[in-house]
Amino acid sequence: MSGMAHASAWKGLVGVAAVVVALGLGEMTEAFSISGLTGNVITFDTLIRIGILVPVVVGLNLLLGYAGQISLGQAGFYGLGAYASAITTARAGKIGLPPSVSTSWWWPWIVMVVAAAAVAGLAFLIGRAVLRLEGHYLAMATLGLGIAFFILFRENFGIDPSTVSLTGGSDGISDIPRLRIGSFSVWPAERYYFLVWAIALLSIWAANNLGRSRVGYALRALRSSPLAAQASGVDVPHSKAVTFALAAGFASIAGSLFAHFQIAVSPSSFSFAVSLEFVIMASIGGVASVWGGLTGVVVIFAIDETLKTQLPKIIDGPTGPYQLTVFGFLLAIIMIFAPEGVLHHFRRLRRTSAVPESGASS
Amino acid sequence: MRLPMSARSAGIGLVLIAIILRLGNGRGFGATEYAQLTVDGLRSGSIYALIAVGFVVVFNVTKVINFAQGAFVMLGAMITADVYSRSLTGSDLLNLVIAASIAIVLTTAVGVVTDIVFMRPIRKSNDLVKIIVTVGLFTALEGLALLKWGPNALRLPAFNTFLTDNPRDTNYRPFGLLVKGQSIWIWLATITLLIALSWFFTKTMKGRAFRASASNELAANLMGINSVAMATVAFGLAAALGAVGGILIAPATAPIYDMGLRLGLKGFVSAVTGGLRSVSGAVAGGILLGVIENVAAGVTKAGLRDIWSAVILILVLLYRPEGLFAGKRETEKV
Amino acid sequence: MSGRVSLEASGVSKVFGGIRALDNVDVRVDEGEIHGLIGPNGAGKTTFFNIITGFYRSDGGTLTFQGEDISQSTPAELAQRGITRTFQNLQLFEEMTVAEHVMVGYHRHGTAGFVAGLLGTRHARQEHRRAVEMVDATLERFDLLGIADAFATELPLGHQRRVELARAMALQPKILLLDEPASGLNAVEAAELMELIRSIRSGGTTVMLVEHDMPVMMGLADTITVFDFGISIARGTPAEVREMPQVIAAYLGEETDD
Ligand SMILES: Nc1ncnc2c1ncn2[C@@H]1O[C@H](COP(=O)(O)OP(=O)(O)OP(=O)(O)O)[C@@H](O)[C@H]1O
Ligand SMILES: [Mg+2]
Repeated sequence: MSGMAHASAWKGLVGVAAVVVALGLGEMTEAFSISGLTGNVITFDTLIRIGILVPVVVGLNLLLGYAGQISLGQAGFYGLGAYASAITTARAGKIGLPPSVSTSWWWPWIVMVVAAAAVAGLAFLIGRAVLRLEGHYLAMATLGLGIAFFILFRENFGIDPSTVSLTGGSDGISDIPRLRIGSFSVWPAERYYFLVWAIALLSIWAANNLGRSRVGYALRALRSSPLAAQASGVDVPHSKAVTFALAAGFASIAGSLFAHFQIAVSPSSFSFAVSLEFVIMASIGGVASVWGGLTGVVVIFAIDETLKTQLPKIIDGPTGPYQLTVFGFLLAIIMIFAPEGVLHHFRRLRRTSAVPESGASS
Repeated sequence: MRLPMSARSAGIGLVLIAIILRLGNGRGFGATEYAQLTVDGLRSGSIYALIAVGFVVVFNVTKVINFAQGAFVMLGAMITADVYSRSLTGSDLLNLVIAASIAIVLTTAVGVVTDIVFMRPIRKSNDLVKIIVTVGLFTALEGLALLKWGPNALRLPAFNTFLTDNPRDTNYRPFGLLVKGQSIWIWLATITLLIALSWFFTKTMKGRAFRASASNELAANLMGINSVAMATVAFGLAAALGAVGGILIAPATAPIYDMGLRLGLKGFVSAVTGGLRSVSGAVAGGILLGVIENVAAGVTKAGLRDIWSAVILILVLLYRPEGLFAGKRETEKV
Repeated sequence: MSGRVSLEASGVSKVFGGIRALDNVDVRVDEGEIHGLIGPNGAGKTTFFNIITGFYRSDGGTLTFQGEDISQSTPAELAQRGITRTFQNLQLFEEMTVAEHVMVGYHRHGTAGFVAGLLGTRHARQEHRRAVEMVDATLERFDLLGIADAFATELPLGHQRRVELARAMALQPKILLLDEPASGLNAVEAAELMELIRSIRSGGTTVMLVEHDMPVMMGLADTITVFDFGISIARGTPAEVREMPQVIAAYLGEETDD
């Protein structure tokens, strides 16, 4: 029954990987470039940004599509990862880290992993308590949490900045080092591109594995009938909390990658508007699949970049307000007409027309 | 041994008070300082209460947490400031009255349209879909406000300036405290509105029908009450309450397109603190949040002010999800 | 029949606001039997099921399964121990096929958790393959192979009830609680259902059955407990219970269509 889905998921993954490699090689060898192919609408820089966000949205997709929960504060977890990386590298001295550790090549990698684990642990504790309650409570709690983290970043975690400035307040932290492996620097951008996309594809691959596992079935079940899932032996609150923790951990890793790409972080990258954008991306992708997270990020970036480059041709003045308006209505409309995700809708249409053959395949 | 929840939340409350007193002590705060912080907290608390009642009204009838509530507050403030600045008549006071009326009517209309156009089609959808739709609408309204009014704050004079020659707000000094004229306006307006609301709910047909469909949609339908229409009334009412809150706070905060998120969150936290179902709980929650937030900000850092609502929200959700003032939760029907 | 006690409830009560939905009821279910639970609407049958399966907490009394206290267990723990149920109002998973429903029922036989699932470890893959085989066997047993890939929520009611039954049986439970499995079925479907329930019992699963359809109940049950207004008023074989005056009185008090 699921062998076919398995095979097509693999094909999809290999296909995406091939495109990613081709675009990267094209850029490196200067044979062709994404800017050239898209008339400067999407640049190589954008491709890296897309790759960074894929794990965030894949995680959110698991939460939304499988556990049926939503986080309105995902930018907070993303920010925690970013600030953890930034503080322990660029401000290592201020927190008493010996330079022999903080300047070594392996340190940022360890921070990335440990931060993700810690963020996931924190999310698990919160999720465990809040997810006992039904429906909208996680949405509320994460909304508050996201805003709390944003303020903590801006306000130096409440510590007087004249004693020790960790976050740099509204200005943020700059001079974050690039990542290295031994003496091999993961920079210029082409190298970072491959790192980011390797992690992006890894997150898709893992989410896809999970979907086909025992846990994946349990999660899909508890989304529409927690009662029947429990009667089948699924520990519903625990499963939801772990999924939430996973999503938070994925976001944290992406945050670390963002910090080392941007080499500077400031609170505005982790505001509620950013959380909202993540939710929109996840909603477009819909029910988790190989494509859900990826499509969401790509579509939103494409719309975003198109608006950014095309709007100035018809409107003078700033285009930000239009983007906010368009995204807001877009989100409402997607949810009204295609609550399972736009992509899911297309698949469903295909599936309905293909029922006769698949009936015999089990 | 597990302590009962009420004992635990009381314990947490005591610990928080102890921390506040300890921090205040470090700054040499005495009774006057705390009283002043409380009075100022009562002012924002009243606004939170109005916004919170908006959340409760919509939630009771439709089971929707309307994240767009904050946008209604923003619209009330922005439209008033905008219309006022056009000086339609020779009298400033009349200009304010006209501006406020237009703002309330327009915002109410936005609330009604929100329900009819966006919420009705998803009446039968799950919570998640509804939440995301209201979040989307919030964002869209904020975007539209940014388009219309730009990124800078507008201005609305304090209401007392219309009655006195003083170009600035009047300062009253009872018992060595400082009370702004606008605070008095806020309290008077909030009390009047809450009394009117309770009259509406208990004494009018429409209000009773409203309460009926809030408590049991099916039974209300059997009695001939149209719960779909009631949802629209709820959204309209919530929008009007939000708008009034926005108008009242406008002189104090200089209205800006993105003020809705912060105020919406505060109103929402107040509503949750009050149990999300009762109007009086929401009012109490609003007052409580206003005071706690202001005192806590006073003893720590002003920049941290907005974090307290998030902290309280999470504590309430963790320890008393049914709200501070509500009874025990009922067994969910299987 | 082994005669050992499977499930025993004594002094179980449940109060909702002012209503005493269950008042000090005693029920004993022996291993290997089909135990019927009847009573007029609102008698507390579903409430009793909800307490046994951990969805509600009893307001007093004791509850044991195979001699061990289960009064504090969650539904998931109870399912892991082999107590499962179907629901009076069907509880199917949206956007999931019939085969996938049965797959969820197989959950308790697996061990692969989140980490194994994410990494797609060999253990997880093997377990998945075994599950698929087992699912196919269950589908065959419940005559669902032909519609294995259909979405369960889009099937006719008769099929949906069978899907619920198949999902529950995928757990290979020690005791299965069925809440009105025949409601809404036509005579042919009801007869098929009776056959299935008998075969479930002969497979070694104890069955507890709530059912308003009296011919079905009388034809299946070894023992019957009768509830009325939250009180257990009678217990005995179908033939005995039918003659008891208090049972007749309880049923004459309301209009029944059977
Ligand atoms: N969660 C709940 N909250 C409040 N009252 C409840 C709840 N669950 C059940 N009740 C009440 O308890 C009583 C018993 O209900 P129950 O569903 O157990 O009856 P039943 O015997 O299964 O009836 P039926 O044959 O109609 O299914 C009823 O009065 C019902 O309204
Ligand atoms: Mg029942």
